[in-house]
Amino acid sequence: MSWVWPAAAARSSALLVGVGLALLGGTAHAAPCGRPDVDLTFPPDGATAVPSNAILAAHYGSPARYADEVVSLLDDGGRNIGVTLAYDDADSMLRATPDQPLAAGHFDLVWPGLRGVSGSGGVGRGRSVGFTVTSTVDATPPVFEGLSDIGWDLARDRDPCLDRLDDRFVFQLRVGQASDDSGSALLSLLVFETEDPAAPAQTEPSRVGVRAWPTDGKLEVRRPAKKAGQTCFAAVAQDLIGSVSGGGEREVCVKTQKPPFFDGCAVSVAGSTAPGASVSAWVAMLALAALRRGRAAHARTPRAV
Amino acid sequence: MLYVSKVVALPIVCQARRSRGWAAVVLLCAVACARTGLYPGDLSETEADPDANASGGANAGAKASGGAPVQPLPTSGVAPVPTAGMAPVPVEQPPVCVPSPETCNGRDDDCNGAVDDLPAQACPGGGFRFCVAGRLSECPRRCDVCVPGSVRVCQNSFCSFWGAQECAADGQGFGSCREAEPPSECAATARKFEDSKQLEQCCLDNGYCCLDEHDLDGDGNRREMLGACGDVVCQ
Repeated sequence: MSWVWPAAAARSSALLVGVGLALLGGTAHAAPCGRPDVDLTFPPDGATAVPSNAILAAHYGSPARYADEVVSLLDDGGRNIGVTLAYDDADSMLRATPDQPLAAGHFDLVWPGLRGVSGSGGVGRGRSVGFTVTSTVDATPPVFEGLSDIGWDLARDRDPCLDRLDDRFVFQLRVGQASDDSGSALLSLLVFETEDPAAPAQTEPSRVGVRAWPTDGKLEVRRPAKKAGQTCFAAVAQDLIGSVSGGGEREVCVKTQKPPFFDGCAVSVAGSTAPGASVSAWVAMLALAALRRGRAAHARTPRAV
Repeated sequence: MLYVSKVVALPIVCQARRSRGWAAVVLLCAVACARTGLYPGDLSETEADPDANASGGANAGAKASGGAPVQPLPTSGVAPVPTAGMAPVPVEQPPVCVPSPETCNGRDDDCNGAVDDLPAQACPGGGFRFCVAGRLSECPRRCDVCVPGSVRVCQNSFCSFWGAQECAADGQGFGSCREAEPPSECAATARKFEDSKQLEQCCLDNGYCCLDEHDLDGDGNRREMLGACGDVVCQ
């Protein structure tokens, strides 16, 4: 969870920004530090019209270590369906390819929790999903219009590993229409940063996220606010058999501005960003100002003779 | 309009007082120029910012790569027959797409109506590359800078001379070097040599992932990590 500071307001008075930040502070982020929970599944829970040749996949939120954990796929008769498993370390994705095309009907699938690569991550949480397969076969690649619009904001997120606030550019992307044999709801959206002010020499687009298909056509991407400037994104859609759409040629770009955050006068040790320290500093400054103003008013008051 | 009034109309009026014949000619020329819309100011504006319309005039917006490779239709057989006393009027024809194998270039090479609709390319280290913005994406890595939550050893210049740096939750970098007690096997080294090469070597010898602040490998890079960093680095 985090709070967002509108870009327009960020350009206004630094004093107001400082007061706002000192008073509001940041809130704890929900994601645990480095724990590889399953954060996305393809198909998602409750999906219908899943094609019979679908490749099932789960995405883990942090790098995980796969140690031959079992994936359980049961049909509606409770029979175990054989799958071939492969964990892609670069994608943090566990893929399960059924040994035979799935028969029409309901299936229950249990994705395992995997151990995190870092020692602090522990074992992540798995996920159970249910979905319905139809007899249709996904044969053609999806069609996607690409991204159509972009906006941005500034936010400060609390990092659960470092327990500190970090500036983030929050990009709101508008996603164009898409279609596929099995409908757009089963597609995954791959988002790429095609221009990054922090890496102007980089020519290859870098992937910044795999997302479930946004039903409302809106997508939010958070990037570190290291350097402001021209930032561009593009996206493609991928279906359950791995076919990729076009639409990636459409880039959306926006020019970000450097956050003029002002943390106030710290009365704690250097480097501390504790909001309490900033609040106490502001309270002390306001009290001092009020005291001086009171004394000045007292001095101006004519004395009774 | 102001330009027309001051630069064209006023000299014409002045000239007209001297020579009415010449004035008539100049007036005709001015009217002709005005109808073409060719004025120096207009020309300079156009040349100064040729991309003004292409950028949309705003900071934010969408841009698409080039369209299909097209060739104009041959004009033979479609040109209008000239009529006596009339100039031939060209007829606009839709461009023709010449199919070629689809490549990642921001164009619809195979003329199927979709740009760069190419399959993903498998990367040697896992993951896939995709064609976006007319070029192939980089191969993915499991993180950007470091594995989220992983820890490396750093050195402080005071007190215990030993510290730990944790990687941020998004893997975008390390936090500050927080002071920590050195492990027992390096405690004596820390007391004797403080922030030193010897302490960094002790860190390496005891199986930690250590920030190479003293450039023990002599490559000039003091920001890299040495030692058992398999669970810290992204590749």
